[in-house]
Amino acid sequence: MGRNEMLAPGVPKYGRSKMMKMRKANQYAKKGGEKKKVEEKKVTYGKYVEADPVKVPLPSTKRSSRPTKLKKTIKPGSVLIVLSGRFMGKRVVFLKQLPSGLLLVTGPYKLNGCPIRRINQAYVIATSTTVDISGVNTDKIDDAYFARVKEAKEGEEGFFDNQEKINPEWLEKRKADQKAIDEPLLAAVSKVSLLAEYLQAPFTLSKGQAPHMMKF
Amino acid sequence: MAGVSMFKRFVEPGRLALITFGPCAGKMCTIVDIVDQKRVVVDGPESVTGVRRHMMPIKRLSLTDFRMKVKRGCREKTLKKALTEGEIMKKWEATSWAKKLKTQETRKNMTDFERFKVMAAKQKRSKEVKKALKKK
Repeated sequence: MGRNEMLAPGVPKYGRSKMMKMRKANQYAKKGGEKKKVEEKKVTYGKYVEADPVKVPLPSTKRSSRPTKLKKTIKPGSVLIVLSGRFMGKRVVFLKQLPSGLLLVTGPYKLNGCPIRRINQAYVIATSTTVDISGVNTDKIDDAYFARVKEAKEGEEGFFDNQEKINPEWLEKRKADQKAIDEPLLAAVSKVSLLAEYLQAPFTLSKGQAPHMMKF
Repeated sequence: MAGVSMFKRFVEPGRLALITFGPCAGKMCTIVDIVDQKRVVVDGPESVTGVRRHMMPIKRLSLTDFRMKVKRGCREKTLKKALTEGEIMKKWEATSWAKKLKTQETRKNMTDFERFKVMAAKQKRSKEVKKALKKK
């Protein structure tokens, strides 16, 4: 009884079955207490093969990688409203979900200044409007595409060298990639009337509007 | 003052009303019977407006101009007959009140892009109006 506290009069901390288990465990400990200690030593030294099956903890499900689920409302080509960061309030086009779970997104750059970018889907409102992105090829772009270029740390000279090394070519490449993606996208946008203007315009809430009550 | 009534809409059997609160909010109903000072029995009927026959506080009703000639506690069948014969629902739909409710509903269900389109159309209209006014 000593182990089982009373939370309130008549309400024990542990239930009947749990107490029974605890009691049984206690019994076994009393019977084979000495033996168990010897076994443990064997395991720790690793000299002998264990006769009894050694308990191996099951692999934890916590650490296994579970890919991020895409929000149900987001579909390839859907227009998203960005809620945070530099491009807050912009309406951008969703291209695909990257293996890291982030969303690949483009303005298009010409319309609202948002380049090819990654965005966490938590910081986005999905609208029901979609743009036809069947002509857009995003195979080139993955998470590594956005990896930071390491800066050389050796002194000022190294820094400037590195800048020169990175900038012009790197920029040209980026621009070309942006163009390759945006061109078919812009063609698709221009087919729908007012869609280009829609993407250009920032999203705002006016008086009496509450985003949780609205349909997008 | 007592002789000439100031009011035109009364809580009476056969009065068409709009439900403004509760699970049936936004639906139309007809008053069928009066329970007490505060409550009435109301019926859609369900086949017409989706409101079942049930009791309802008057506070949740907005009375309309329409009234069917129906006796107190009438059956659903007679009520429906009176509604369809007088084409009450059609007349109701033609009122500006009903039209306003309808536009409110459609505005509420608009998507973001549609809202933008409305905004653009409004801008266009106001531009035209301004132009026309300047010419004079």
